[in-house]
Amino acid sequence: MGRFPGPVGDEIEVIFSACDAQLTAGGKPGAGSAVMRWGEGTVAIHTDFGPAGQDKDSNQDSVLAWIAGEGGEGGGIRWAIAMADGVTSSHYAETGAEIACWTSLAALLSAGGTADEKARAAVDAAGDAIGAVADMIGEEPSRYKPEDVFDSMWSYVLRRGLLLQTTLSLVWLEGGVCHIGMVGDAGAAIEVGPGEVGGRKVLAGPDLKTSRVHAIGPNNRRVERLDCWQQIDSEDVSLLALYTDGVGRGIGPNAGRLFHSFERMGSRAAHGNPAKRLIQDWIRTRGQDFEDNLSLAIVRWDHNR
Amino acid sequence: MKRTTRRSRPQLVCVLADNSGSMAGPKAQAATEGIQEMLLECQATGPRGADRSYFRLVLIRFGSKAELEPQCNMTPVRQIDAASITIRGDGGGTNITEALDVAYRGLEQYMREVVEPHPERTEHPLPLVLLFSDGHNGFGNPEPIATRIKRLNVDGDPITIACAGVSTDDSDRPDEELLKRIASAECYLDIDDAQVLSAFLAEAGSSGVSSPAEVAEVIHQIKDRRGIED
Repeated sequence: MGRFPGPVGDEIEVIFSACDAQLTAGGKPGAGSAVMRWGEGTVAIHTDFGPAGQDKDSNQDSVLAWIAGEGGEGGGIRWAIAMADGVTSSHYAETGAEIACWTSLAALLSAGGTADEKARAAVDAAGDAIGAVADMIGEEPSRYKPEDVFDSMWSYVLRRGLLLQTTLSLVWLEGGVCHIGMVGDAGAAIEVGPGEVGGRKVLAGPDLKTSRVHAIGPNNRRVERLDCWQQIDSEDVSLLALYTDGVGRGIGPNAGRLFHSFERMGSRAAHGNPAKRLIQDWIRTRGQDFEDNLSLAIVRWDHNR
Repeated sequence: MKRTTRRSRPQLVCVLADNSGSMAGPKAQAATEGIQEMLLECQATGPRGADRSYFRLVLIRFGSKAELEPQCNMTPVRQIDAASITIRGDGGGTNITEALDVAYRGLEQYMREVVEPHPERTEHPLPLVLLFSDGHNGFGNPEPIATRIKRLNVDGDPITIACAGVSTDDSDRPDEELLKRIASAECYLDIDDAQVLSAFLAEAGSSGVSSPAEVAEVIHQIKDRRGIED
């Protein structure tokens, strides 16, 4: 990371080192853009700034995937994905999103109990870590004040907790069940069976009508309830897609368009990173529809296709 | 198509602040806090960056005369230090007419030169005028100029004026009937608690909405939360 000087930078380094140790002990993590093979298929993730000319000047999304190693410790989890969308107006939101992904996945893998208890532990870990970093910033506010922000505004930001805020979506496969938990809005969809005869189902859709967002942040460290919590038998699932609202806005309410785009890639989907290919295609051909940071994860089950 | 703020089409918020002598004290303090809070909320909207303001501010203080605050003359909100804005209640009488006249001249030019030719004019938010006063207008008739402001429009969508009448005791009532006539339909709020004045300015000013119906809904929500009866 190294984005912050002083104690906050040191604290962030400690957080990431601890999470990395946890994740590499039981398997293999992949951040940002990666394709990873698991026993029955592949996990592909990609995050991108999005089309040039949009209002933002940085990618505030973060994506992290993890695949269990042979005999690794994951509590029976085969793979897991964390996707976070930093709140647009929030300061250091990209850091908050990255912290949320790493801390939540590390906590998910080490937590015991039922699936919903694991989800709770993961989300709480993200909130605690973001809160701890925000507290340290608050101890030396002038040191971490962005240059282009007035003192009055920075005081307001700290008082209202308008920093490090992020949504968080988690998906993992455990015991033949896909678990999907979300804080804030994101999109998730599955395809069951081969594309021509199977069905497609939207499990969650981003809120495209308002700019309001439910987010983890310094003033919302312990989220009362998840905005989405679903458990899907993976036996017949052939594809699963998880995406941020930027992708959701572009594809519209019919997530079938996403799978259709995937199918049109044909054999190209089997090579390289299909999530990256799709996002790059959207930016190139329909940039105006996708004016946002764009993050997508695609999980493929080979035997069901 | 809904009118929404963006970096490429910020909303102009025009605050007409009663700075007459009767405002001095808690009412001026509440007005200061409300305008500052509105500025901070507006600054907090949209992607970070000093050049990414989603709002611009005009501040006109009026006592016996109306004066445009030089640092708030259609200025992007992220270029304004909220702490530097104050209402003191040291302006003498209550000249609502001149305040509206100063506002009209700026708004007419803004609509003609900025909104009408804008490439995103169908989505461009329209200016929102917020006026608060605790007194009776003592200078001419402000209604004709208020009507002219409300007739400024783009594609039939008019500028909205929202008014708040402020009082802290029954012996010191504002001219509610006049303020209601100045305001767009359903866009008047009767305030007898200084803190509600802060909420009116902060919430309405940073709401990003344009139409009278949308502004009326914001005012309705303020009333609901504060238990204020219609």
